[in-house]
Amino acid sequence: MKNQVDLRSLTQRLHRHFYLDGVVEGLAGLWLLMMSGYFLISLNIEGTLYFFYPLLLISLPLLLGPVTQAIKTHVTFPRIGYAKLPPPPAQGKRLRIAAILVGIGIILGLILDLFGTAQPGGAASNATGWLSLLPVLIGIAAAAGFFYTAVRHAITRFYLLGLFILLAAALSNSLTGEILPRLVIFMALAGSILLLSGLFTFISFLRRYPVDESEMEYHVS
Amino acid sequence: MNDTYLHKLADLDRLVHEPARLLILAYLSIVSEADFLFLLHETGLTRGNLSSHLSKLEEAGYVTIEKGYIGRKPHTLCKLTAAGRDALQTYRQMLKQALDL
Repeated sequence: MKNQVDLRSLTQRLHRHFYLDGVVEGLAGLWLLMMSGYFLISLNIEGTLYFFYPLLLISLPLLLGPVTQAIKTHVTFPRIGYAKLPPPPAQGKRLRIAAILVGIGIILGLILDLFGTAQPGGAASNATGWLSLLPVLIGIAAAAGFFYTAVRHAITRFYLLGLFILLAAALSNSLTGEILPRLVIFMALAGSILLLSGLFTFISFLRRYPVDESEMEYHVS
Repeated sequence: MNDTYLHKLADLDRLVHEPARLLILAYLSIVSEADFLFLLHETGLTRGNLSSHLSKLEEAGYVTIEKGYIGRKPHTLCKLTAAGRDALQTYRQMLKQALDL
């Protein structure tokens, strides 16, 4: 039996439990790779693929919401059990939602701005100076999210992921040339890192926690 | 140590005081609900022990246990009741006061 009854560390364990399977980071990486692929195709193929763009934007909340939940229900919970986190306090919840919406708004605004100003072939016709920092800005925002989660819930691998994302942003920023190719490189690097980490964690999770079939014998009566 | 409170240690709720049950109650106090498998993994208890302690906590009205099925597999969902939360809170306060924590 684990003897330590420290509510703070128990809460941290509970949050770590949510990230134990690597599903969230893997799907986030997959989305970044899809975005990277979209920009790469739009750089090389004449014509319009614009209708894919809103689909890609919509796919992020779908991947991190219902798709993640479905994977956890069918794969994760039968292995390590299920626990539902309590709802955050009303005031904290409002602030958190506001902060998330502002963050998403800024990033989407930057991406849409780029989308509006970019021309086929990778040129950004009237892109302002700050727009060229887009990979760095996205990288800092993403890394901040990983560092925050790493510190708050003591998840060691998130420090590494945050660091790798910052390195990917720095690398893409150090390259010369148009912004779209640099954005493609950043998203491909960051997406690959997240997807690989997610896959590795997921496979380790499957090996470490086989499906538990025996609750029947001990069904509480 | 405060003598007045120290004498009250004898009045500690024995049902909560038992380490395994205290751990179960502590886990259930930080979640909205959790299933049997989650508690099994997190507490490190054996199945039989966990089952027995949950039954005692349920009898005391400190937890509610919903039995159901997911597909063909039985599923046991546990929640802390208001009485269970109060009992845990009272236990913490008594222990803190008695031991000057």
